[in-house]
Amino acid sequence: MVKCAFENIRISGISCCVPEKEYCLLNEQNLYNGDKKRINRVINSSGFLKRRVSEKDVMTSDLCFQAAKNLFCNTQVKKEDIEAIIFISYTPDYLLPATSYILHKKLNLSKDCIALDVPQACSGFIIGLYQGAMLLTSGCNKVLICVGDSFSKFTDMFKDNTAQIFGDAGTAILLEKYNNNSKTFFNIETYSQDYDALICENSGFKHPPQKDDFYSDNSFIYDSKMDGKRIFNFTLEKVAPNILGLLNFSNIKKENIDKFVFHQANKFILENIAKKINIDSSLISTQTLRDYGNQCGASIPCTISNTLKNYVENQGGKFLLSGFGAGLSVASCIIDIGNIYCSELVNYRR
Amino acid sequence: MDKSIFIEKLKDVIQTEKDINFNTELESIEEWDSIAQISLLAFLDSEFNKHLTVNDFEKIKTVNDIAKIAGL
Repeated sequence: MVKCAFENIRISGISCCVPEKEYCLLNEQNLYNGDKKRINRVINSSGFLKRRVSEKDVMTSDLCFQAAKNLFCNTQVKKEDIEAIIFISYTPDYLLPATSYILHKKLNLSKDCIALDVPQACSGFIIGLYQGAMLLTSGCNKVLICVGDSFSKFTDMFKDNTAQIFGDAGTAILLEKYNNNSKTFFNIETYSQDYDALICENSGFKHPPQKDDFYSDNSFIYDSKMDGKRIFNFTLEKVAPNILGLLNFSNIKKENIDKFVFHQANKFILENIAKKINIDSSLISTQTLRDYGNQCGASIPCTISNTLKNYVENQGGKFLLSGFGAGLSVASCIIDIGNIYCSELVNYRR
Repeated sequence: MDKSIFIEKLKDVIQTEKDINFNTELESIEEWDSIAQISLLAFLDSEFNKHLTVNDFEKIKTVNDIAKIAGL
């Protein structure tokens, strides 16, 4: 996509929800065949320590639902004014119907509202903002963006060595028209030649379930594969130029960006991106990946919630957000966020 | 880059205390695992602007193979 800019839109509320159950790598003796030295190497270089995992019957949509309810309780927005709901996730309730309809029903939204599912992963939040910005430009006044993922649904969190880096989360973000002469800039890029670097091959119709796709307890084995080296190379080569391209396009100097919030891929990747765009690595928080895991599309709003709640509830400032991952894709955005409601990372309750 | 500095930096990248030289077999380094390999990708990128593919990893057996990729 070409780089683009939107006028007079703003994020007017951020609400995030995580499962209550917490796991810590230090307590997982079976990981890497009990090789403690290896576990410590993983913690030190990747930055992951703890993560949240949802109960089997709690869906991404449940986490998003609680986040959205919380948003309506704490802001002035009326449900009947929501003219679009977008659910961004690769862990929907069903393939049919779209999960945005489930959320629309549970939230009791108006019939004068479009429900859209956008299956995206770690760049999902920015792609959702872009989609929302387009809807605002074409007539909607308020858009509810629900972005979340539950990687735990996709893999056995205790049998698969890649699973220990992912954490579940669901969020709700309100986007609305706002006449403040602000400009929001996007740079979204697609590198589909590496579509199979992060893939779950039996998650759709192309490879229907076979007999050996089940564990002995009859639970289904989603065949998720991640080519860590290929993805790492991709982040090294593509993310920094995307961010620098966005700064250049927006004519905003990086010194004038108040907060950089990046997808919580892992500490090592974020430090390398900081180096490449020539900013101090202390400007990029990795606290959320350490305490909650890689929350995929939800990681950017959750990082704002987790580390910048007071900042955005008060004056706020100019944010540069960047998400990157499955697709593969890189999506970055410059947006003003401030004087809005922002929740903490609230624990999910039934 | 001076060859002895290269060895020291590589030890840092792999996070090993082992004495290594250009003939050291990578497999003989206990810490040569996927974490070390990812660190190596970042090291070659930032210091030498070189990019390794997954297939390249199958071809590198010794420290010297890495040095050759770095252009030393």
